[in-house]
Amino acid sequence: MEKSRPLIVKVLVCSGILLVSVLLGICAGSAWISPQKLLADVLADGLSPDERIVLYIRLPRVLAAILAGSALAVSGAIIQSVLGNPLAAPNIIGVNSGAGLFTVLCTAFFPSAVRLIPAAAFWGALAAVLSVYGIARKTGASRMTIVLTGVGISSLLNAAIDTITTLYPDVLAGISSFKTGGVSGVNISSLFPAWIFIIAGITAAFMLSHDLDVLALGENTAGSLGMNVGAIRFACLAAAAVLAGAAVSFSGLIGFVGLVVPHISRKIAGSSENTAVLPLCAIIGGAFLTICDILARTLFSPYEMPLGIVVSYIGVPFFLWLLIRKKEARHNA
Amino acid sequence: MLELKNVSGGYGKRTVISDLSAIFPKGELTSVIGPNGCGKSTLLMLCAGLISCTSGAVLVGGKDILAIPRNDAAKQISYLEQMKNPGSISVRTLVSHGRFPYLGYPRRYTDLDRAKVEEAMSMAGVADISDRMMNELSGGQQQRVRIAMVLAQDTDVILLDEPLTYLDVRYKLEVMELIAKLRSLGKTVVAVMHDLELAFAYSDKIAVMENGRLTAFDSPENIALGDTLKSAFGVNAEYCEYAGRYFFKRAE
Repeated sequence: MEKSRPLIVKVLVCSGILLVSVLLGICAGSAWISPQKLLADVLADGLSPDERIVLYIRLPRVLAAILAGSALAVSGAIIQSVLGNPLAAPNIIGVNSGAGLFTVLCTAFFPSAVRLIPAAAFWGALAAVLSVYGIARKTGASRMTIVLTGVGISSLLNAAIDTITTLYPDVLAGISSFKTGGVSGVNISSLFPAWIFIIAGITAAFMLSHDLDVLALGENTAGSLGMNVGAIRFACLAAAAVLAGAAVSFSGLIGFVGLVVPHISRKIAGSSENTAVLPLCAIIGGAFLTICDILARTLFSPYEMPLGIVVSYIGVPFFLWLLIRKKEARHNA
Repeated sequence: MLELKNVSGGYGKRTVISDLSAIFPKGELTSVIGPNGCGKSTLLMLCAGLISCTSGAVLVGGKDILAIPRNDAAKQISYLEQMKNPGSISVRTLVSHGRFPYLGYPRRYTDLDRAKVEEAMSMAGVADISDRMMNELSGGQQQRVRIAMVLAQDTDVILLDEPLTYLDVRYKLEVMELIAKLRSLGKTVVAVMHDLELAFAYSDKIAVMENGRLTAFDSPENIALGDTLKSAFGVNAEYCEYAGRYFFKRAE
């Protein structure tokens, strides 16, 4: 679409938007803290109350939103590319639920092993994505079948999550609104070690982006170009699982970021080439979730909505629009 | 040169190709024809090393394709699968993917790679649309771009699976002429074809397949004289002096 502008310009513009959203995320909330006031406080000695709010509440929140948004967006772009299905996203095909189940299991049975949660979530996400992929492959499934398979697996995993939370009611006490997803109440320590997983996952995704493009040409073409298709595909899906797992481990089951942001990124990139799309996803995903979080805490101030709900209000209509549009495209073809 | 020695193979336990031997010489275009489901595409996948033979061997330049590392095999033999939705990707990017076997890590193109890509694009007549997106192009243009990708791969052997499918007649001729041109580069070209008239008009050799076996492998003239076409398709070939082409009529 706008192929003419070089990628670097697009990356810079999107980074600018991210920066603005971060600033807004720090200043906005139940009480507005102006940047000038904050700057003066930072320069002065001691911690002012506003500084405390920013340091202990808002900054961790913004960081969590950026990390979760980037991770889920890149994860979604990878999954869509590997499955060759623009409707596939971590929440739709059950990857988030898989991560969620393992998060809940880990919390229920190893309550002291908080640091292990991202790793546990990774295994859950990986199991979910591989089973959807396996079923799709076995049945030669069409786009819709993949989505429906994912919905099925998702429901099953959600039932399992509910079972655990019914049997162990105090499991989710530490994670606010886990099932809708959100970043309120996140503190810096709860982002560790998830942030390392996310940085590693995004780095791996960038390193694989060229191969992912070749893989997207079709597995036979990729194979005839000398690629070890099985290994690369597994590496890509594993990276997607690391990212989704780490995001879910501290932000819960936020949906639709992995669906909406890759589509926006492809529009901005003007192509589906992952070498351009993945970096844009990482930046836009962070900005998108940060902005949604600002809306979550200001729309009905002083009441606060869970972030997941705001995302759903944006994501679900978008998903439906994609469904309808795809159908039209097919009829016209 | 591509040589098949008593090749059998298929998918999982299902054998599609049984005991097939053939030699595809350098600088010749061979069209593989046969009724639907006779194993033409499977044969091509076996040749490309995408599926393994259960017995026999596919030899490229005298070496067993499965014994060569995948990456090196991809420098000797290229394979173009049937047309499918190309996605939103630029012509130059797609053709550049033909250089994948030559890229080390990180995947950076050298000047040689870029030169090969430009050369392939001008050979296929798509240099002037190199900045366009694939999904904006006509079927014929898309197919020429895909052939340019295979050319950029710079292999001695080129395998094409139904390169004319979904194309309007004008583009069929255009693409077929491009395929015929590949011979002059000294390539061994093997194409699975549905269009008998074009296959007979442009090929050096015709391979007729039926039920996973090769029933004839000869020049178009000799195939037209034999009775394998009748057995495979229920048609006879007739040569029209005026058009300089073969036509096919239902056998009585």
